[in-house]
Amino acid sequence: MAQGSELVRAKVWDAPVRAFHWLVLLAVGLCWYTAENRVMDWHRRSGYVVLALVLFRLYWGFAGSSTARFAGFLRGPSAVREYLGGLRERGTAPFVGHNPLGGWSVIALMLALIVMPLLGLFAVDIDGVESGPLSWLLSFKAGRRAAHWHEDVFGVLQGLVVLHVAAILYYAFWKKQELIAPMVTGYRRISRDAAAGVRLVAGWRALPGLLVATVIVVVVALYSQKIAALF
Amino acid sequence: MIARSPVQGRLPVALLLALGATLLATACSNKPKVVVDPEIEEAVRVRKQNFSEIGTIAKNINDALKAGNKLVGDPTITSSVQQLGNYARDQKFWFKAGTGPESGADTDAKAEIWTQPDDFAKKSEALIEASTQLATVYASGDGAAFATQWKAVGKTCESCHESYRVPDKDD
Repeated sequence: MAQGSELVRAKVWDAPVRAFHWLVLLAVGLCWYTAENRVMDWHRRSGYVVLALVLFRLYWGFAGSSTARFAGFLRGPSAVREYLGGLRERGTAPFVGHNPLGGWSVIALMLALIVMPLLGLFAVDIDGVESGPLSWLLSFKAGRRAAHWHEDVFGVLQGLVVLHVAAILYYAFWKKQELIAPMVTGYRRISRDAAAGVRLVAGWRALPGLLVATVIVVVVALYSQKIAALF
Repeated sequence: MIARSPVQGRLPVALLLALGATLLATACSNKPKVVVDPEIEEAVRVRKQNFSEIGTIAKNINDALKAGNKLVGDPTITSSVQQLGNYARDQKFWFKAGTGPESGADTDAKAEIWTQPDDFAKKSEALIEASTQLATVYASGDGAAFATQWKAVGKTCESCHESYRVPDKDD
């Protein structure tokens, strides 16, 4: 075996990416539960967490480690085609970070994860009693429409999550590549060459993005009407 | 030579189909139109419009509460509280026999409204009581009591919708 292709245990996912992944799953789960059971105070709060997390992830897509950056994982159609061509093969070298198709699935998931809470900010429930913090900008009818779209996007998100899990199962059972543990620990067995290509960024660099995302969400959630009243 | 399972090549296609089906199911949730007695259709239209106006009233009150505005003396709130009481008292006349889902009209009213009239009337009465109480509290000028009573009004809407309205598809 050539020296560079020897497998080593290397860190591929930085802590902010992993934290984002599991926290967004938890927060969306809480959104779902609270919507089904009409605990709307907590539905709003968990929605704010989703929004803040995704805003942070957008920042981290530019400031994070090489495997977190959009520029690092967004590939053109030919790369996706080539990847699809090799999808049936077993024993292929593991991808470091997102594979060419997986990168686009991340974009689709993130789009759904940002559009859903944004619509929720404007949503009004059927009684006109519960509503998102920016719904005062819209009429009751427009707010209802936002609520329907909010729900529709959740349907799309559910579909994307099913695909996401299906892909992970396919990798686990057909390709014999376990992808869940690396998203927990950050480590994966990859070739020495591939490991050398991963550029990790210190976790503290996440702080400015996290701070800005939190401030944006808090201002929108609590102070939009008060700020508007100043003008 | 390695034996290939017949499913191998189809998997990406299956994934794409699953995504397409999800999107389609979301997009095509409208029912085909059926011919409905115009009088019934009109009654359903008016009923929906009235409920939509109640929604607007509720939203006005809710927006003012969320903004932390002073409610007493605000003309929008004064008229909203009054109109809510009027609509609450009127509401029982909007559910004439024959205007349910069996008419084919595009309504979210459940057939149970007409098969369980006593319980429906009780829920309708709850809204009248709660909105009358809201008007009393409003007249007293107690902001905190108003916010509490407003929640109670919301509960009456929710409890009736839970039993007698098809979970949301249209406005």
